[in-house]
Amino acid sequence: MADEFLEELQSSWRGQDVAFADVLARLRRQRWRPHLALGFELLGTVIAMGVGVWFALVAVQQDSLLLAMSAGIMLIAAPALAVATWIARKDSLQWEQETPESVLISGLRRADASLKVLWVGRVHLAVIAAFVAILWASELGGLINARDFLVFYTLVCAATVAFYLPWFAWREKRVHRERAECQRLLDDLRAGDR
Amino acid sequence: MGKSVDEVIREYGPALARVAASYERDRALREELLQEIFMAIVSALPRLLDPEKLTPFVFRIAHNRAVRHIQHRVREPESAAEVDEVAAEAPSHEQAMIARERSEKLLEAIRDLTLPHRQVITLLLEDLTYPEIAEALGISEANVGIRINRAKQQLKETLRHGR
Repeated sequence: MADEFLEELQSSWRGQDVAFADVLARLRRQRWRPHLALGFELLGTVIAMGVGVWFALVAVQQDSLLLAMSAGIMLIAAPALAVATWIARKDSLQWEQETPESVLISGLRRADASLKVLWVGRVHLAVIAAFVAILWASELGGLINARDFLVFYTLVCAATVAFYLPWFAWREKRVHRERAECQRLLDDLRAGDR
Repeated sequence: MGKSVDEVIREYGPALARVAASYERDRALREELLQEIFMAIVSALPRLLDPEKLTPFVFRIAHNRAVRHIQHRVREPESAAEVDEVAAEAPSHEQAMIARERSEKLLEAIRDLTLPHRQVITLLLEDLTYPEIAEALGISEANVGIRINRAKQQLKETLRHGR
């Protein structure tokens, strides 16, 4: 009886229309992208280091501190960025080694990390606001005299805060929803065998 | 000698499209999910050590990728109107309509199952053995049996009430 039921289900299941020609066409166009991205990263690193070496040579010839600093930054930053990207790629999920449970646990961790980053972002906005308040207090107290600059600086900071605060709220709401969905699926998964 | 990416996609493509359909009701998002699954398989295939385990390997990637996909999705209201076309191949128009309706009902019933039950039943319907399902989901064969029995019971009830 159970087998008959399963056979009936299989017949309906296999009867689905599974046309995916568009997806395949897109896949053919996009499947080289990861390799291309890696190639461009390597090329970018090599070019940046080449420019760094050139800057260093010119800096020695012209005895220029600015060029020497630029060379140093390029020679340190380019390989450091390449290594950081390589580590990030290595640490990203390998789907064949994960399980649905581990994917959900990693989703929870990602959501928690995002919430922390958003909190840090809010702290940064508070620091900016506090800094502007201190500058105005100094101006009004007669310690500094830069009213025009302060007006301009305050407008820039206010625009930054006005843009990021709603974005943080929108993003936080979304991350909370994603986290709740992860937790719900994880609970379902763990309850599945009980 | 293992299979090439093209061979794998040709062989498993329809089954992977059905897996994507069991997770995603919206047609555009379903295609996006299928694309993500294909891309994950393309990058993971060189790491497959035992070609004999290709089937659980492919379905494991598909389900893991699908789980990541649905956790980012806001749960949409259940609506039969949003069900996409799930046509069936049948000799006559009337038979095609009946087969299509059956496939739609089954797909909806499978989407309504909880995640662990949905996963085992879709793998069972794709003819995976218990050890292959266990390998694909990273659970024991005993748990596969338990989940399958419960999933079948739930499906029976849902389909009975739906008919």
